[in-house]
Amino acid sequence: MAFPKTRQSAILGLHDGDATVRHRSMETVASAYWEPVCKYLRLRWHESYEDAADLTQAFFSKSIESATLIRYEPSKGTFRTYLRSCLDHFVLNARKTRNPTVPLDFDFASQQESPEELFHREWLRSLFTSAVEDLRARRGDLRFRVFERYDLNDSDSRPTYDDLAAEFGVTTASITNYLASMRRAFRKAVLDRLRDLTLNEREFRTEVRALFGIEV
Amino acid sequence: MLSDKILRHLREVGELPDLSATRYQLIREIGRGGMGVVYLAHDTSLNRNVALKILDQASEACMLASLEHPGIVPVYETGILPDGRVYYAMKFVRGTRLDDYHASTPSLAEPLHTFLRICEPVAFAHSRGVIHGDLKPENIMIGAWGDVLILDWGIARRANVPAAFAGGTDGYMAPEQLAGVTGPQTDIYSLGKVLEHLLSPPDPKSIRAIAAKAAHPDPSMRYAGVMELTAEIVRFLDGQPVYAYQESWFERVSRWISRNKTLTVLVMTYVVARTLIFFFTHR
Repeated sequence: MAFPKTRQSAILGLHDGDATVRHRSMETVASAYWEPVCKYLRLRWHESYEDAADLTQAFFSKSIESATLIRYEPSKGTFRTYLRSCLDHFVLNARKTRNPTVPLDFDFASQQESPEELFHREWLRSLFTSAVEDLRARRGDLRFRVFERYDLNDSDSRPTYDDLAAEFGVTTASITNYLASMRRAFRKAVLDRLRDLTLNEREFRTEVRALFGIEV
Repeated sequence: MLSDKILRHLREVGELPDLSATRYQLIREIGRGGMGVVYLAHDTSLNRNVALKILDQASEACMLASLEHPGIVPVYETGILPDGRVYYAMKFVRGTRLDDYHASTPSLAEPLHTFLRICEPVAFAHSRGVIHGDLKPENIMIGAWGDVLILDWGIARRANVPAAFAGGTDGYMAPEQLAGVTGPQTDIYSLGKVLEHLLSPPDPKSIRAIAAKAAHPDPSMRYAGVMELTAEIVRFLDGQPVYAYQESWFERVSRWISRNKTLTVLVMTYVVARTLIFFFTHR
């Protein structure tokens, strides 16, 4: 599967000569990284929830203004790592002009994972959530409801396929087929998002391999 | 926002192969090996369970399909998934992996006969120019009747074809495999390590020497082929001297006695009887 030429990478779009494309690309990047950045600021830089949200807003505004993210070079690592290092620089500069308050929340203080791991996990959550929302908007039919009931089920025990068949009034084989088709659609939605958020085919393939253990 | 639990689940199902265009239904993952993941699946046409391996390329399936031997797991079918990955269905083997296998008797003969059965399919593959490349206890299945099947030909390749990555597993991989070299000698090294795994002390020094020679760091010091290795094992089982070990005269005598117990008892009885007769007649 070749990297699609018709789908413009948002990272690539940050370099575009057209201001509209640049703006739209930054919106895509910001929406994917908003939550990861905000939570990273709370854990790594011990910011309160409100300050982290303000700093996140300021970081993306500053990035657009000074075109920081446009300077990303894929040979030096993933975009995610580059963005995090830009964020660290941004926070260090911001702290020079204000008191570095440290109101660390208990739930964040007790986390076992490193800020980098948290950043990665939140990026994944943001990616998967947006893929699920895409599916919900496009496929709000019976198949999506079965998918939601089974794969997006947060309770301790998932219903069996037979339970779902009885609940939705279809055969168990249909449940198997619906889930297979929705998982395929979900994976495609994630890969589409991932294409937006990677610069080139190599980075895209590396991310897919790390995410799903598959080759594309 | 999705919870951590849902994230984990979605990653798992995202990794699962899409079998909707095939006649197989996924049951569960049963293993991960060289270059691929193996699932237990149900063949809905033939109503039987199969082991389904998902690969990035078809070479393994083609190579494996060309090896018809009772000790090599047979390939039923190959195909391509919607995402471009290759799958092949093979016999679902029931049995005990060699790393979980324990001989039913304390005798050394049983594990050595098992080892000889392990060597047979490897020798056969070598005769067809195919090197397994990742022989280890986890890739060897012992059936209910002591039959042996060699699994996971995921990094098998044609002999002496250099590669950037020649695969293998630490502890069972020949040192030259790190440099991308594979050949019959690399499998012989792994067989030597498998033999070591089967032995439990105290073992005769000669059988340890056979394992050490097979797994010698220098390929030129190993057995020239699998048949030479099996011939050494057979010599050991027959109570004959082995090339890998230089015996002392005491060990030679002990081995001769152990091999000729009846004759030794007769001779000893005769000697004792003559000594007693001599002693009593000359009092």
